[in-house]
Amino acid sequence: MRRVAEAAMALSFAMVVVPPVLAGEAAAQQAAPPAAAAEPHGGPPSPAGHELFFGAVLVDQAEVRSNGRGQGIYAFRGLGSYGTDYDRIQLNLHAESNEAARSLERAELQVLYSRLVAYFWDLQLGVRHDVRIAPRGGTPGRTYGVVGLQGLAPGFFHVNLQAFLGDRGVPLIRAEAAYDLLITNRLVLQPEAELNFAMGRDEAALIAPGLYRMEAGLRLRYEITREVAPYVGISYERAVGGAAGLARRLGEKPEATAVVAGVRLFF
Amino acid sequence: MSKVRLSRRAALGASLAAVALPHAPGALAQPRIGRAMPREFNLVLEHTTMDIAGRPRPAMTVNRQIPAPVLRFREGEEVIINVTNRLREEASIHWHGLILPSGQDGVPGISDGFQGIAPGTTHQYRFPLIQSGTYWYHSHSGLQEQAGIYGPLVIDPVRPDPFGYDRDYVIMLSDWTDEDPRRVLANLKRDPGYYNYNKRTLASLLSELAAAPDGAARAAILADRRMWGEMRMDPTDIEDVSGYTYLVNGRPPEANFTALYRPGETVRLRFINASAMSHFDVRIPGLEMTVVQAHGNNVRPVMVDEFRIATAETYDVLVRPRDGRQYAILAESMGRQGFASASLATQEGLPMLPLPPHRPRPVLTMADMGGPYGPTGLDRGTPLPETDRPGQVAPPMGMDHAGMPGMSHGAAPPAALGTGHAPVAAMDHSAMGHAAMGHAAMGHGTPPAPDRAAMDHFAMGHGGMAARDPFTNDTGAPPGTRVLSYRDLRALSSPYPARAPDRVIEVRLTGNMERYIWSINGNRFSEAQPIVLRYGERVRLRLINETMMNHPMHLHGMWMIPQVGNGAENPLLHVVNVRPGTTLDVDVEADAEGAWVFHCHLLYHMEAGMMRKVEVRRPARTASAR
Repeated sequence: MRRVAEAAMALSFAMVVVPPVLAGEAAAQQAAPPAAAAEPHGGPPSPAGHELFFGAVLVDQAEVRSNGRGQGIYAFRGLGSYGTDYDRIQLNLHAESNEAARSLERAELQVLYSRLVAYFWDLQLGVRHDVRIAPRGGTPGRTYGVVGLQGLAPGFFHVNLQAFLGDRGVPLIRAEAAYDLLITNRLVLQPEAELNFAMGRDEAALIAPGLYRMEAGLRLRYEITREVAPYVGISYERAVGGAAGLARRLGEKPEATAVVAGVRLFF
Repeated sequence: MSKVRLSRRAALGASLAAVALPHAPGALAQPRIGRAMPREFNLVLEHTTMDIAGRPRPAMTVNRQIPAPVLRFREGEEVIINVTNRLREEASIHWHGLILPSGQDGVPGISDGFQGIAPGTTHQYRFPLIQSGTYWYHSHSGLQEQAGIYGPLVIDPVRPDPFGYDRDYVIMLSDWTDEDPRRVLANLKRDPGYYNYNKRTLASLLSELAAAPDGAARAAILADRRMWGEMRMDPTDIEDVSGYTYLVNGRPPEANFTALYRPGETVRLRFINASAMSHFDVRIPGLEMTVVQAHGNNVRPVMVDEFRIATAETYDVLVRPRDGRQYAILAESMGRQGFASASLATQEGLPMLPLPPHRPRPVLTMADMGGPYGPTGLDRGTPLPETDRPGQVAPPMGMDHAGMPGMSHGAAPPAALGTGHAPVAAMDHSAMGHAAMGHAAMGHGTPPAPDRAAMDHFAMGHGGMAARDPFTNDTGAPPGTRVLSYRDLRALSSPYPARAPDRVIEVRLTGNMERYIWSINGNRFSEAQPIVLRYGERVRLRLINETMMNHPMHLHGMWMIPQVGNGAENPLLHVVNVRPGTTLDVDVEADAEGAWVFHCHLLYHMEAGMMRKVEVRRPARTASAR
């Protein structure tokens, strides 16, 4: 009875799946002792002490903005990074199309070296280039050196502080903050704001001393996956102070509010 | 020639679960070292497509099966294991929990003279077995273990175990993901909360507020939310990875692996947690379990209703089902993301019993806040002093919550500590004091005379306040349930008499939860110095968990003896789980010369840096005389 039970079990369970070979065979194959045992320890440096490299792409905004009149504006804001825990290369790209001409209104590219300096913070150094859009009209090309601090402030605020110094000698400061308010684990409301300050005047670039430009947005996204999250929201931007006057002189309205729809991508 | 035969057989057995038949303990002839020729085993590592969770996915297998075949050895014999690497990458096999020469331990670049098994080559392991019990083996290269390279290893004792049983089954728990493990790590690196869909939300806040009994409770809920936000920590971060299918012997719950019994028989279940990232709470509703072995070592039998098995631990239990019922063997993941499930039944092929609802998901409290404690000036065991690298140790947060009554620096008498906090926000005020006052207050700032007198560090607590108990496992079981803790483990025969340690080495478990960096004493493996032990000394590793996650710490080559308060009967373990915010003393007799590793056995924590080389060196004087 017991043996029957055992046989039945043997059909469905393996016992020792790898059976031992005969001792004689083992001896024949065992001419040399394992090399490993002969080695002294403290030998070559450990190759296991490796650094992991990894990358990420976050397209925070890829959207259409509409104020209900005329053509919509296409806007893109994203970053890509690659490197180790401590040292990374980061690219920031920010672009907007022109309502009328269906060409780029504004495009800014940053190439940064990013160094983890504290638990929540990366120090970043690099360059920013503002692309000149149209030969006539629009803002001119500008290149700046960048020093920045990117990280997470108390309260889970994503913060990016950047200082720029360009060939025109006008120092600029930008402060950005965003917050992910989890309504549910997939439905996320993201308020964000950006303030731009100047220490001087660069009229062609629509820059005037003090706070010269601000942006704010409120976007409600649904994370189908972490990678893909469609959203709707509103965006607001405004040239402030002296910069508002500069914009008016170019025939632009200093203020724009729009309804937006887009998709956030994270890979 | 033998290889051909073996791999064919292995292929036949590919779909079979790894389980041993009942055996009569002691019935087998026991070869003695040097007398019999070593038995030889062949393992082949391959890329294999496996359908485990419903769709064919690439896996890495040993002899084309998951888990790998049971290796059944006999204490006292010598074995040869030929491991052929047919993967496209370097590989290795580590014999988890075995006491063997460093060169046979199987950690590439660490174990003496072992540089991994190159693709297309065969490496021969050869070692004597000087122990018995339930162990396992797995890859120690990259993330291969998650991809499927793990299997049970059972060593039958020379003398029969001091307990009897009629049947003997391996219950190997594991976590399977359909994702590429490298992708999993990349996801964690770019967003440590990537897999957490149980975060606190506005919706959960509103339901908590609605359920709160009064205004004070609501205020406490809001204060608690604000506090976690200010700390930039996530109290729902229990398990790093989700999307797992939890397996018993390679089978998902629906496949209902069944261990057979006849009423009245005693069944030995050899639980092995071979998962990459999961702790399990194990229970068999309707049956009590007698734990007879922990980590391969016999312990005084202890009756429990359930036990928590940390990643890489093994426990052997006896059960005695008397009726002919079908019983569910349930292993619920600590983060309540799923069950591994099997059956005890009198016949094969029964459908699985319905799974019970999940227990409440644990939520971290302030008591789980550990650090930072360091640097506190104790011996770190490294040749040169080490300093914390930036970004690897949490800043002193949660200590200055101006708006939080009772949160100021220990000046407030305990009685003043937050009325209204406790019921809902579940904050442990004694432990809060511990966090607030810091480790240094205990006198670590100035190096104390090492407390050699086996003082129970944890019992003394930090800053004079009671620290949290590192041993009690809160599994969410109903009151009165007997849940195993390390304190219940009493070694039946320890080869090491109780003695005071020669020195104390402080091992702080550190990391950056926001960047998925994990480290020891503020240094990742890639930048850390080895911990050097003198051959023959007894060291006390003071494991201080400054992070908010559990870390099952595994030492190769030597036993760890956690100071659980059982004196000479303190258990011998190969993995010691260190709960968040706790400090745990573990003694090690440095009786194994060579290079070893000490690491967190959560696979992605290890890969992200929570690992140290440990070198046991003879003093130079005697080394030459050797």
